[in-house]
Amino acid sequence: MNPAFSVIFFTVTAGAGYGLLILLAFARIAGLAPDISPDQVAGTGLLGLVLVTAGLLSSTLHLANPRNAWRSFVRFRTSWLSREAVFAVLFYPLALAWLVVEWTQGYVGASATLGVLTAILAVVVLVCTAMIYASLKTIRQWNTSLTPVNFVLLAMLLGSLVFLVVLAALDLPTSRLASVALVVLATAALVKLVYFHWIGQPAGPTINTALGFTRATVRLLDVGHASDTFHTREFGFEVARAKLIWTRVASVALAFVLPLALVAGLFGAPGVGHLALAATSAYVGVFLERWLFFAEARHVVNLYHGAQRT
Amino acid sequence: MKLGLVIDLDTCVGCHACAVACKQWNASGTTGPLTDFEPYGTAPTGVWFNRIRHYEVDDYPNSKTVNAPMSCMHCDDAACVTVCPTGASYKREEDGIVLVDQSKCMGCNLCAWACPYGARELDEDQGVMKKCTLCVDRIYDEALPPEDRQPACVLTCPTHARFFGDLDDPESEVSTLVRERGGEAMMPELGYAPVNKYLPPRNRPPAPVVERTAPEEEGAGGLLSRWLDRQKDAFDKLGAGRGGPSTAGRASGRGAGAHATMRPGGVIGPDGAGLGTGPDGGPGGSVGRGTGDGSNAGRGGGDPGREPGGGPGEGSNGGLGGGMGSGSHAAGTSGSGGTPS
Repeated sequence: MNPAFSVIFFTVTAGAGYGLLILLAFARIAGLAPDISPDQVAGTGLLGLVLVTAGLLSSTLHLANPRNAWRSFVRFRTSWLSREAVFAVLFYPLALAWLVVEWTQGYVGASATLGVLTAILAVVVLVCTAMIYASLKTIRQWNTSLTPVNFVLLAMLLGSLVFLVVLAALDLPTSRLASVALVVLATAALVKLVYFHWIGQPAGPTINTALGFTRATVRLLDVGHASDTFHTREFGFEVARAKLIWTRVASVALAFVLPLALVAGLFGAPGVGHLALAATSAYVGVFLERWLFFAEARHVVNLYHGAQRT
Repeated sequence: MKLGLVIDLDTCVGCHACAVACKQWNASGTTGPLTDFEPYGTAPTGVWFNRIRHYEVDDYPNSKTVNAPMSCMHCDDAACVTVCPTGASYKREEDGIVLVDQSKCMGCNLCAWACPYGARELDEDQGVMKKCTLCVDRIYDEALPPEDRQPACVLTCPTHARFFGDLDDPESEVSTLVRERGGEAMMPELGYAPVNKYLPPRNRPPAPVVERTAPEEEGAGGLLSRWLDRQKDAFDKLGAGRGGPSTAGRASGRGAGAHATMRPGGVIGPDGAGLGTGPDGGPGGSVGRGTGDGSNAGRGGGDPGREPGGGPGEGSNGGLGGGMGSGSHAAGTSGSGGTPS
């Protein structure tokens, strides 16, 4: 699949924003960020909403006809893209209401309830985004429950690291959140490695089932078009295997290994500089991961263009 | 009603006439235009509802060329409709045709991602998704005579390999064909229940294979006498084959030799004699053999090149030995490689 920059930026950046809000809500309830003032809670929450908004705006860039984007709310009943759009819009009033209650130090019960609802809705939006990809039976590398798990975990990974940077910059204690971040980092890394292993297993349709000749070899003689088509541009994305492997290595190192080492304090007690480096490294690593998510996905149309399997 | 196409992979010759007729009709139809970029440039690209791919199934000598025209399968469980967020994609209750409402599409490409058959193409100029309409603006047009109320691809197919009809009606022509010929859907394992069906190639008895007879006096007499024997054989067979005696012009032509390479089996040599029964040009075995007789091919190819008005003997050798390999198509290259006589 063609890795479109706008979609990669959208899923990674909005994911970081949703992750930050999930962690903020969790921190408020579980007391992960003691001594944080109401202003700081509201500010951190707004930072999360800014990230979400930047991502959502970017997502409209890949539409060929954005004038009709408002229509994407109507097929909520069947379409994951429609559900994502609806929940992403519903998220704003809920998150803002929660931040207002936090900022004005309203009822503790109300702020806890709204915080939990905001975190749940953030997870719902992330799952809807992931299900756009995971629901496609035509792309076996996406059509797995690992896809939504990965999307949620990587969003929480970025959110926890951004939150750590914010806390450290405000001279607030980070140790409790750091231990949560370490758990998220380790879990996300594990799931991603399982995913890399899983997509390496042969599965899915082949050129034989694609054409219905299942008792003999099938080879493409001629693809029938002399130059690029919409399908070759959209689905025919090919990268050298060595480049894919090196991107995987770089992605795992930047998204998981380096942040783990920095947050765990292998390079000394994690100050704001260390944590900023960890967050930046993780952002780049997850960006590479999302690029791989597209680059390694093989659409079944490629079978008709001569691929033996996906 | 479940309207769809049945395509006979046995008779389809892969001429792309259906794709051209489709483009012609639909470019000015309800979903037109089908935008082309650089239509007369070096890399033309644009929207087509119907694309034909060509495959080789099984291995030599059992291989068969299969041409596979593919357009929208109008799936019973159409994933492209399920994933569409705007409601632009829909499947008609009354006849099962899957269509795109051009005024609602936002061009997110998700339906094209969900379609396993490559049936949907984005019009990158208009920013909306386009696809086969089963010529919905034609099949119900009562201004047309009833026999013309069919999709353009079906009407134009020169080998009558495409059939249009109601696959819900067990007595319709298309349902009968699917039943009798064992019609199958493409990639059924994804579960989209495509309505269009493909009739597999018919089973035919294998083509007879003529074994090459063992060469007499192997090794004895040398190359020259074997070559002379072959000229004599070929000369004796003149007139026994399909063609008559050749003119000198045809025997020397580059085109004649190159033409012969296109026809394994019943090769017509440059001299016009039917060489299909000759010792070297036997049916089914002619492709590799010409190159096997390297020296002969070189000489045969060289002779007509050197002497354009060569006699029937030399001409026939050009077809025999070099016919499949290079023949007089390579009058220069093959001749230079062979032993000059």
